[in-house]
Amino acid sequence: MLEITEGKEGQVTVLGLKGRLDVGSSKTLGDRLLKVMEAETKLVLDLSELDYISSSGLQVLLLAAIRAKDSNRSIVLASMKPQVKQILDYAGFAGVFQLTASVEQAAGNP
Amino acid sequence: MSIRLRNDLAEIQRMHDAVTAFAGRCRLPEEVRLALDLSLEEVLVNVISYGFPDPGSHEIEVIIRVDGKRLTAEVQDDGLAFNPLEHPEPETAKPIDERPVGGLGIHLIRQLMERIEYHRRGEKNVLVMDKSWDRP
Repeated sequence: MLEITEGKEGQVTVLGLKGRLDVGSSKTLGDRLLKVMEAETKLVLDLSELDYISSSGLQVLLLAAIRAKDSNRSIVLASMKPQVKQILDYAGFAGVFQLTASVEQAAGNP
Repeated sequence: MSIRLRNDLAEIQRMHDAVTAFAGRCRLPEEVRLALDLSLEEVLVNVISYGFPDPGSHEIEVIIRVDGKRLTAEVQDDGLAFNPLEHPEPETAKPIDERPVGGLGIHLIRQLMERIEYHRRGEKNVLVMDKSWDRP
């Protein structure tokens, strides 16, 4: 199960992900990202309540990052738990996304 | 424990639930539970997505054993012969627009498990994965 919440940190839209980003939930996130990114130049994903990410979830994030780069937008991944950070590291995401320790930090950086 | 799954991606939720219950019963360390859960999802997504070109229903068996501080998970399916270990490693160091999306699943399993073996046994693919913990 994945729960997606939407909020603001200053002027920046923040999507909060809670639960599991797996083969069953990654399409839901992909569709949501497509919609939200149409309106935003910068998007923060708050991963503080995300417990699990599999390659299906990684692929959705990678596709979103490619789309963002092509249209001069940015996506920042913030506040992930150690077990999620480890998977992102295995996938080499540090070279693809800006990763920050907090949502405030993610929203503040240009 | 063992669980039989149909070749339907919706079955992966049932596997997650079974692994969570099993890990609780066996008091698996959290890191091992997560490695098991994630590795099995990656294997099953591959098998279910690519193993069965025919429209029929197939059964996939997952067997998990704990022996002391060693976990072994075995996945058996009667799909197309496929050795995931022959899959090339993804280029995770490449810039975003130069890397192919996909191929990350087996890469994650290699990072998370200690030993992975593939056998073609008769008409079946058998993938065996091991992980131990508390090693000096």
